[in-house]
Amino acid sequence: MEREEVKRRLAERFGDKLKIAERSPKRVFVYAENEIWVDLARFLFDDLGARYDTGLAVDDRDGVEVMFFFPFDKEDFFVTMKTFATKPHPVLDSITPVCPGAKWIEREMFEMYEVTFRNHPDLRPLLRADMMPPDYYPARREAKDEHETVRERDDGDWMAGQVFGESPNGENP
Amino acid sequence: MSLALKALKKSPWVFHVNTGACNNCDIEILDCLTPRFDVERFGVVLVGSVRHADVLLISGVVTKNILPRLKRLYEAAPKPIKVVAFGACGLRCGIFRDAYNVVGPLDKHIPVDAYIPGCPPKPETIISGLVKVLSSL
Amino acid sequence: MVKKIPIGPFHPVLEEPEFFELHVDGERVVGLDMTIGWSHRGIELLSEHKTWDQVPFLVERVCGICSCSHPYAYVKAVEDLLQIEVPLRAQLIRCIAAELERLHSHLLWTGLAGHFLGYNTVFMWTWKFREPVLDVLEAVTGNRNHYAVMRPGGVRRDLPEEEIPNILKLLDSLEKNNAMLTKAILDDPVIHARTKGVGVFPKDKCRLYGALGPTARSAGLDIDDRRDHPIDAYSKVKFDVILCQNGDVFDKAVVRQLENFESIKIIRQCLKLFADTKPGDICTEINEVPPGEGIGVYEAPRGEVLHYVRSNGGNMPIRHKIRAPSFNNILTNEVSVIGNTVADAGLITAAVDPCYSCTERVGIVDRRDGSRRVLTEKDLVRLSHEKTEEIRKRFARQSGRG
Repeated sequence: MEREEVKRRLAERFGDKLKIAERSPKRVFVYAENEIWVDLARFLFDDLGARYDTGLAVDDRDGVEVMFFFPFDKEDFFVTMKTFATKPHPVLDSITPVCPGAKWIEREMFEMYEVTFRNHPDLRPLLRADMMPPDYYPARREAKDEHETVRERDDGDWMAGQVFGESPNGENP
Repeated sequence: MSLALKALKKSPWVFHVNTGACNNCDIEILDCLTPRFDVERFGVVLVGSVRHADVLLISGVVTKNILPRLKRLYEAAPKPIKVVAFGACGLRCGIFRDAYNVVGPLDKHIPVDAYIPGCPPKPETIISGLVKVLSSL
Repeated sequence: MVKKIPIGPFHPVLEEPEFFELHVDGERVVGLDMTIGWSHRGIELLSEHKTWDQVPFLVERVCGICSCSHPYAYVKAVEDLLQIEVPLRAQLIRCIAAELERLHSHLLWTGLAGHFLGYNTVFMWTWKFREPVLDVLEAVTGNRNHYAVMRPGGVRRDLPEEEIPNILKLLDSLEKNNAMLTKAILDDPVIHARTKGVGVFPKDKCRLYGALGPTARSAGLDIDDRRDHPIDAYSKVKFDVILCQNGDVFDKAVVRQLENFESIKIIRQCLKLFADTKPGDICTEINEVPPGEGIGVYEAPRGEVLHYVRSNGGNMPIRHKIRAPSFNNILTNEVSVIGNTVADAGLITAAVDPCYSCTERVGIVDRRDGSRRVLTEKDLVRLSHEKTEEIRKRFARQSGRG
């Protein structure tokens, strides 16, 4: 399906619940409201025949922006659907009823950004170590302020001296 | 006794552990077994169980998830055992130094006997490192 | 009675940690639970503290086998944000390095799969054929593995013209060797019995799970980013996309072996186009990255790699998303192991060519009395080798009788 046709059908189906922006010939961005999220995914995946690719979340000041990519392979362009889940505890509908392949990426978004997905079959952390505190969401800027994600390294026990030998005036080589 | 003869008398069995690496070091270790480099002529064999190992070859930065398992593995290994920290990740975490999920270089958690630097170490470096470890067995 | 068998986190066949828990009923697998995250190093969060030029060095260490794929997708994401064109010479160098990497990666997988099946000769020979590819990569880019050849706007080093005859010589010998390997592996009746019908992932599920790369193409799903979303020099070369029908382990091996021939074709065409480019014209200068977002996709040996970058005008990305193809492909294991035996489970999970490392042992928990049995890596590999031996003996008996 050609790009203009896709844009026309999206506008026709959802009206003013979404905004379509075309950043470049091969990248179409669709900004949607939360309530049409799953319907939009179903429309792109089932009705228009796009391929499910992946999703991601971006942390912003007032909320978490969640997006999913749906490429149209035959016509060489990507449709990215985006929505905004407001803080402090973002909630969104899961698209796993439409694309079961989104199971893992939604789990990762949950554990990194605290986005709770309604109707997800198994929403538990994917990558997190057992010993991390349960309310620590590493990718959120609030978390970055409280628990340093980029750790201050103590170079006092720099081991170069042991491996390469100290330089004559006692400095690291 | 010459080094070569000493090495021939001992056939070190190596158990390889990946504690969160990009995989490249592990592929270079396997590369050493292949016909071009062929460490099997030194008697080095990769074993499938830590209980049969003489040398623990550990690659990767130690991630938080792996740490308890690594400690259990080290306790299960028959002592005395030589531990070799492999690659830049084993040395000082390489490029992943500041990551939140990395709990630090290997020698913070278990005693290390030898280091093989490189990212990844070339097979020639690996062979030279293994021979050094062999000579201290 | 359903028993649970954990495998992991250090897997017998591959080099990366992952943890599978097989739910078995007798000998058949009825369910699978996977725990990943052992190699999670927080690379996406690290990218936000590196400048645009430093990120390729970080990102090529996401995975060592496909260490050209991630930087390639990243630089395409930045170039998508900027909407710039890269000089032709740089495009060809990128394509040559990327296709050489595909060759070495597919040969690597074939070797590991052969080892697990019990064909150690296959392992030794494929890795022997792989060594000249790494030598050429070292001569061309400077290192056997982490090439550091990509940079936003072009490449970092020029291809030395005197290496081109060596590359052509390698391609000729590799074509012959690959043909021999393909015939030897794919005509063997024991390998047919071990891998045909094993670990089937059907085509209708491919779309739902977002399966990528050889995993999807072996089931018949016609996707290949080199043809569908062509970047750089891929729009200037001709090649075929290999498709199979059944989606079992055998088809996955066929797709990878035949793709080697296509890679050789692509490199030859790139080298022909190379002669018309000007030496030294390898990079478009980039002075700043304005606010915006970019998506970069590239067909790695395992499937489509997707990178997303977002900029706010500064000299570091504020968000960098890395999606490796194995993220989608490993999830397909929960469908493809059902109905197979424990002896095949290791092979099936390895057939998607997952990009994480493993070596480990299997624990069997008998839920009836809570007793635990631990199988080592040797045991799991032994189970697989025993099955191969049994099949080989059966064929020998049949051919002796008939």
